[in-house]
Amino acid sequence: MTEPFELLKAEVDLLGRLLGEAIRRVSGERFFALVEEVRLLAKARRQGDEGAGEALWKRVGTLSTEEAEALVRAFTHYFHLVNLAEERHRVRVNRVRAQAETPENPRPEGFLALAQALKARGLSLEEAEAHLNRLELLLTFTAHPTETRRRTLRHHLEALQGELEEGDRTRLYARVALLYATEEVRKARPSVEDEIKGGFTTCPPPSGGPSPRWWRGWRPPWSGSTARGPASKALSASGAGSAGTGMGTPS
Amino acid sequence: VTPEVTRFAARYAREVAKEKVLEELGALVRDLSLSEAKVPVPREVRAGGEGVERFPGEPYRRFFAQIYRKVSQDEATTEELLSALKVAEGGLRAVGLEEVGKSFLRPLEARLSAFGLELAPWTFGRSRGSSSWPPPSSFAWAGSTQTS
Repeated sequence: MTEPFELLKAEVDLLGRLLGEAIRRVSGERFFALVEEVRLLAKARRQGDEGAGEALWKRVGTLSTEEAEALVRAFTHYFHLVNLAEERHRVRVNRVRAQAETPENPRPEGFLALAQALKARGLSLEEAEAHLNRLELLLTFTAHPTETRRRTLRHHLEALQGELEEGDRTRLYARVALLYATEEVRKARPSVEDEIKGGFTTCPPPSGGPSPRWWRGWRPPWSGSTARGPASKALSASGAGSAGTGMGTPS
Repeated sequence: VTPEVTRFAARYAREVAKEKVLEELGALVRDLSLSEAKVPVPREVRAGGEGVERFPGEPYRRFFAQIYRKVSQDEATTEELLSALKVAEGGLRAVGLEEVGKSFLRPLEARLSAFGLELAPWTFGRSRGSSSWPPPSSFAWAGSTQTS
């Protein structure tokens, strides 16, 4: 498990440096120095330095509204990038765990563990499948105010994923600079159509029935059974609390 | 190869080239979301995007949206396109973002310089304008000059 953590640290470090360079070039040395000062004070405070906490409080108190907003936005971009690195880390960790899974040592949250738990309760294959076939999985997307992001920002972050894989540093820097130079909040209030498009960016309309990927790992431990997977109604519908309600995007 | 086949091939080549260029221009409209509140923007970029209502405060997007419209309506030549890319690249370089130009604009610039939009000129297929063969730009990509 060490390697994925090392990769996470390396990606956070790389993205942080690229953002720092973008801040320096787009907003100038003075603003970059302010961001660095606040970052280092916050880090020291987090590590238990009370003096740093007081200094941070004082420093932030001297900022104009415009400076404070720019500072908050710069850190928001930083956390977008850290979140991206963490999402990639989760995928890597899950891959490692999936590769390490064996019938004797199933992942606790996987279908193999579920099948074994059902068998341990004394259910036959038919009973287990009948039970699973009654399940309905409903994904609901809600308009959580801390997670609202412009479609443009999401586009840059998604593109950054691929660019991190490719590892072209010039292109990576260019993308981070574009992300930083993009307004976090769009100028025009989004129309209902914009919000619907935004919803479909997150969750494209399904093209058929439930994806077989949901059943990957369904290797029933009952003797003589096949790995076909239940004909479930799972993911038969999804709900959205954002599209078309005027709630999902910051205006 | 009949004249009809040649005409079809010329028109088809141009349509494919146009489609590819439009795809790349669409990507630039998506990517170049720089805000005018964060980066200074050259006058030419701002003026080039006039008339586009979408993307308020994002002049590079407006600029390329306008170029997209012109190319889709056959109102732009390769030279105009190349010149527009240079203008945008200059604007990005001026604010220290030359990497954005290098990564996002130069690939299209290189393809346009090599193949252009006039590889098979529209006018040739319509039997108006020059009747010489080959059309002057057909061999431009290969570095040769007009042969007849």
